[in-house]
Amino acid sequence: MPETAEITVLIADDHEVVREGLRLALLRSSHIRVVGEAPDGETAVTLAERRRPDVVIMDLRMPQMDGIEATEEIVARVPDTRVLVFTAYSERALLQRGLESGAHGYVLKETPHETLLKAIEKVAGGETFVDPALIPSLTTGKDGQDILTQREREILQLLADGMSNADVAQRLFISQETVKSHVRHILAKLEAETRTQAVAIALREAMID
Amino acid sequence: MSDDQRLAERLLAERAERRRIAEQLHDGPVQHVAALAQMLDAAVHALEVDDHAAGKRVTARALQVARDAAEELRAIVSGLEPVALNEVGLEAAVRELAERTAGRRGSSVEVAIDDEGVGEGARSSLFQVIREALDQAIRRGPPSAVSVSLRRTSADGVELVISDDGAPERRQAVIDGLAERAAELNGTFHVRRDGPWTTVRIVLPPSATRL
Repeated sequence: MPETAEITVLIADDHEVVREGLRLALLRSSHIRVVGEAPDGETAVTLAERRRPDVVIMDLRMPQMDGIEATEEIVARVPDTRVLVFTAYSERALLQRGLESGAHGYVLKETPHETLLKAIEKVAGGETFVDPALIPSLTTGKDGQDILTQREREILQLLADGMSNADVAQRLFISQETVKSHVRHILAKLEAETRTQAVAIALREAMID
Repeated sequence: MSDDQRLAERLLAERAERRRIAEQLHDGPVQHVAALAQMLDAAVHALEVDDHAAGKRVTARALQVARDAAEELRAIVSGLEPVALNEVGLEAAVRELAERTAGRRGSSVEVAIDDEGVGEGARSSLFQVIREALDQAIRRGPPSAVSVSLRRTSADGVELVISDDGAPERRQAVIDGLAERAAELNGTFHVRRDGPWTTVRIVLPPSATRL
């Protein structure tokens, strides 16, 4: 296995049991080191300034400054620290607010460990990451109708599951060029539909390899 | 009050209630189940690398968290509308609730309820008021004693009195919520502090008592 650079993380969540679960899960990855825990947004900002972690894993709903506000503070005061939103909320509006507040990633609390690790690594490297579980929910338009065709939806799901363009082409017996053309259409529709650049950019980064 | 106003208040109250249930679910079982997933992930990983000791330890902890989540869900469900309410009456339902919340945390519990002639709707509303009052009484550390009493008034209404000697700081939002519920039932609402005791008193008129 190649030597992976160590990533330091700070966990901010007001539920002790969630911090415990996360700590136990992250203990299994030798390249990730938990350097602190905060039960509220204010403490998260203070600890982020003092310990300068690579990534803050941030809950949204917390007492004494919520996760959105704490993210804005951290982005302003400790620009080298990236924020990964870690929440039980899957509403599109919160995803938008999270990314607009300066967070680099957004994952659900029950996300598989592999996805969480990928999110931490991507965010630590300054890239954007959105939980694949959220991507299909983003394709519903204002009128409640799905904005994608069935084929586009199928391709989006495969990409969201972590397949490359080449994998998708092979799976669907189509050329890579056709896959890319579908992806361009999907992105154009999502960009027009989601109205915020942040989400569209996050999706583009998540989908193009 | 006009019918429109009444309807508006009713809708507002229902929304507040839905929000309260959503918050209870979010703050309790949702967090426990998320933590459970993280823990089981850690346990699977431990077993994959043949670290049986860690696998066993983490699984045992996950089991405990699963039980906590089940317990919380049960408490939320039974708080919504206890089956016992219409089968065994308000007194038994309140006694069970008080024992499960305050009693289990070591508070002495006193319940005296006379709900003779009180309508089904009124019982349900009174139960919700009592549940919220008990919730906030124990939230900041359990009181040494809690008492709930309901008696018929001479004016053919009911008087509900809930007292406890728990921490005096109360969430204003909960107090406001209780006052709002009393107002919905055209009742009067008072909170009094007397030494270590906090007492909530709600009096309902005959019209609301028969609901």
